[in-house]
Amino acid sequence: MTPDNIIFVKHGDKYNAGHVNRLHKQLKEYFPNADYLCYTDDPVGVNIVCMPVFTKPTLRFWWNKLAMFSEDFTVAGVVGKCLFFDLDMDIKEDPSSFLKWDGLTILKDYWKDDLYMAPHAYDVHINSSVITWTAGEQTHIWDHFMSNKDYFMRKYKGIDRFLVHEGLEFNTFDHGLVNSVANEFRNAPIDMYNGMKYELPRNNL
Amino acid sequence: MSYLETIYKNALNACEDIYRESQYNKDVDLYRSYDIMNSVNETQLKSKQWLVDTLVPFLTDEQFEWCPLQDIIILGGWYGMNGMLLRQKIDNDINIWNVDTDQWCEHYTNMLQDGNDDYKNNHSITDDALDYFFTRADAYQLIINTSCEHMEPDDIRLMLGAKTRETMICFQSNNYHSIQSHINTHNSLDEFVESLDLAGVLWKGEKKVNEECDRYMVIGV
Repeated sequence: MTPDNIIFVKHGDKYNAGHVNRLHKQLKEYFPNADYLCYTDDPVGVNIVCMPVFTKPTLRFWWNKLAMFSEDFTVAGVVGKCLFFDLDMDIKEDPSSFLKWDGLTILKDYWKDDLYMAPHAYDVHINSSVITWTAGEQTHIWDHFMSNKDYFMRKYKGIDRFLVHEGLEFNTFDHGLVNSVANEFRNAPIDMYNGMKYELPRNNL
Repeated sequence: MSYLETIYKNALNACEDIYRESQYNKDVDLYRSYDIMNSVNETQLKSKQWLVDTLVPFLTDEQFEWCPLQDIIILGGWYGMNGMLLRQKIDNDINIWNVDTDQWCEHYTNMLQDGNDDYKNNHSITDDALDYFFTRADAYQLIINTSCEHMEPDDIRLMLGAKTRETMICFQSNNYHSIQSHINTHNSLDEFVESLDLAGVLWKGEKKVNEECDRYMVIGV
């Protein structure tokens, strides 16, 4: 299956326009007809259509990813099947065969299968580095976050934990979509760096 | 038992209740007990006691000649610690309105205040603090906000514009930039005070309440 929209979120200075443009170039090969969108506080140098981050509420870091589920995205013209990528990904092959649009779909962290997770640590086996959903069908996620956002941001270290422990429904992709470079190698269409990319050589950036 | 001992005892009881309930109910929020402990920890106590000790000398009849001090609103009151500390220094007839979006704040504020009649006029309201304020902006003679770092700068300015001209404010913020929910931190006390554009500053100061940050406070109108 192929997406109608491919969305990136760039906030702060951890990632730059080059990361967005590079991912766009890699994905364009497999999804030439998708609309590409970058939700960002700094559009300078980004070669695709940019949507400015909401002025209210002000959110920092990864919490901005939740805005993709808000009604405002649909109002802004985002319709149909959406595919999100974190900016620390390397697309090596066509990932289409793994993609599905069945509610909210997220990665499962295959390398965490055997880890002990105390309930009150709120750790999770999922990873929102790749997400699929249909625009306008997950607005309850944003609405729930907004109902008590300061508490959620104190309680959870990131949106993965928020999604799981607030009981929001999701599915997971079949194993094989990504290779986590920090863990045992797996042949997969996408290399995922999980925020550690700056310590690794990236020759083609 | 001192008022502080009562608060700590009640906080421990609240945490115990949460633990006991969690043994039989999977939906119990264990993090809530950690949040309650944080709300009464040394840093919180220091910064809120600092506020009370600094603010109270300004709560004079002369200062409130335009309207006697009868209603105080605490925006983002959390579990009511600030109101409880302030109550020790002001008349029991003065209303203190703690307003917080988080619905559980009301429940645990009532628990922490339990057993002390001094708090009969410490009220806890579940609502968006700004929405609540805007619908009754002329009802308060004093506005307290110890968490400006969590609030949109535009909202704070809008609130200052909506309040009665003489209404006193006592606001705190900090330079703790690294916390993910801190969306409105400042680099200095003066930067914080200037951002508020007050008609008059009665007092301003800063305090190092822990190793991570400086806390800023301003009292004004």
